Amino acid sequence: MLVLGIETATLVCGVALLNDERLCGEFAVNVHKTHSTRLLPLIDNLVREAGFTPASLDAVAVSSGPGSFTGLRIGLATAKGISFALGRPLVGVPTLAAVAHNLPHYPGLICSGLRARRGEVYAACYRQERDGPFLVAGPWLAPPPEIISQLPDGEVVFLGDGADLLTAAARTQGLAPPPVPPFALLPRAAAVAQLGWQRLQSAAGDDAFTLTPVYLRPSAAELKFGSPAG
Amino acid sequence: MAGYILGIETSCDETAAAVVRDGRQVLSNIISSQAELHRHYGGVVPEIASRRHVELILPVVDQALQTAGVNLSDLQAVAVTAGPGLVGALLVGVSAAKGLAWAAGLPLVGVNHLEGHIYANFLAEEQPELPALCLVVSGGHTDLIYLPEHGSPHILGRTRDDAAGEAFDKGARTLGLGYPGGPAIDALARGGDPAAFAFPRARLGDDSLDFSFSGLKTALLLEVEARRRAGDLADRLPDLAAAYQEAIVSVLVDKALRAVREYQVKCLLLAGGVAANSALRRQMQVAAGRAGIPLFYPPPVLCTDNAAMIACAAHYYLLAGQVAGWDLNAFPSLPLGKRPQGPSLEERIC
Ligand SMILES: [Zn+2]
Repeated sequence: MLVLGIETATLVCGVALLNDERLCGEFAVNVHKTHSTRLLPLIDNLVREAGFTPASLDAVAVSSGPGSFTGLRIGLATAKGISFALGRPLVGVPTLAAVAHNLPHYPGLICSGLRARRGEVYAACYRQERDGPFLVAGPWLAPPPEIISQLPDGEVVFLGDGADLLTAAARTQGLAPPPVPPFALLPRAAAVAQLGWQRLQSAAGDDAFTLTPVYLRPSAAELKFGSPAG
Repeated sequence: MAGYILGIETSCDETAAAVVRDGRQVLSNIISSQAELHRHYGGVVPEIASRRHVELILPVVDQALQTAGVNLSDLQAVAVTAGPGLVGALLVGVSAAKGLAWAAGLPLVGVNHLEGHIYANFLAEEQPELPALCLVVSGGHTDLIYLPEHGSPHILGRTRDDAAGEAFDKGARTLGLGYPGGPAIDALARGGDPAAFAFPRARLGDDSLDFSFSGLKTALLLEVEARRRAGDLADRLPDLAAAYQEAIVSVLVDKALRAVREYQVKCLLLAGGVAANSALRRQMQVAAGRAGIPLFYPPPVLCTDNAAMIACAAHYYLLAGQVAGWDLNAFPSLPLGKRPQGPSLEERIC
């Protein structure tokens, strides 16, 4: 099963191609540029470099958030277009779980944290099990010190582009989280593809028509005026 | 092979998709409006519009294809509005269109929304002849456009302050009418005398083809106050609406006709939401008749934002060989005359 993974929840614009247990290729750029100009050229290049065509894809896995609202929508709208055109399943993979998947077999707790503006962080806490990260606490949207105070006891490692904020907050509370190398720190499309593939082994994909990003934060207008329903 | 083009439009608060054949036959025209949702907030909220577009994009595209009875594999191209508009909203349509086109092996066309409005006039058996003059009037635009040939529209005049649609909305608010203001004023004005009040027409110099509606708004406000003091405001509402509408429409007609004479065009086109205004249509018809040229205006559903006009414009892009790259971006303030094809208006990265 050939799975295209898409990761656009942060500044990282990443794509990966996973053929069952084999990672055929992965491209990622981590710069301050809009994903809209880069995502499809990266997908197109990757699929062709790996010797495939668009029609070869069996499924699309997309990082579903939380993260940058615009980044998530670019990834999800692109993934929906591809999935619909090919008639292939679409799987939304929680971004924080995909980030935790960067450190398989880590014995302690993994706290994935992504920058959320206004000094806040999206975060969730995972424990690695045989088949991937298992959510033990969160997700939260809060300032780093508040997240640190809600962490379960035990050794914690911080991943994600908010890891520096969480690590700094942890130190002020007497914790000494281990350092993480850059390649394991940021969201990766390969992890998204792998978790998506894994889910498709035992379950159906998501409904491409209705799948929406996980925002965790209502829009500013909803916060101010409430939603029409409520 | 028949040229079926799928058009996608998400520049503001309508999620729309349409299938158009050979640039003129509308096979489907699906529009999912978020107007009700945004009314709750007193205007279009960009973040909420973008969130809705992500939820609606595939259902709307699917319905457009099903209604038209075509598959993606029957299409000639996928066309999408790339600007101008709300950037977050545009990006949903552009991203989905790219995914669809790439996976289906189809060319992608990035369409200028304003040009799309003009091309709503070409969605008919009878085709307007070029050179043409087009008046695009909506809540965001009041543009007088010269179209010598396909692909080279330029603006002869535009509003210096409020758009015509805005002038209608603000006037309606002053008169205590509902939103949108255009249809409300149009309806009320039918029972009024357009000559009952002499509202100002901004001149802006003898050779200017620009418009200005901000003075008119103030004049209406003063007159409403005067009528309220005189105690006959309720009775005079139809007259006020008729005279206010007349002031907007007469300036639009005058300037359009001056441009018609100056540029020797073969026909006159109306486009945009305000093109559905009955007084504008009637007076423009009379004026065009006097100038001896035909007047074209789209049916109301093609005047407001829709994707059929985008698919129609794309037909002419394709005739000119203008296809976008996978690096197509969204351009919130795309000017008329620019056809987006890559990451910026000047270059492509691959
Ligand atoms: Zn429009």
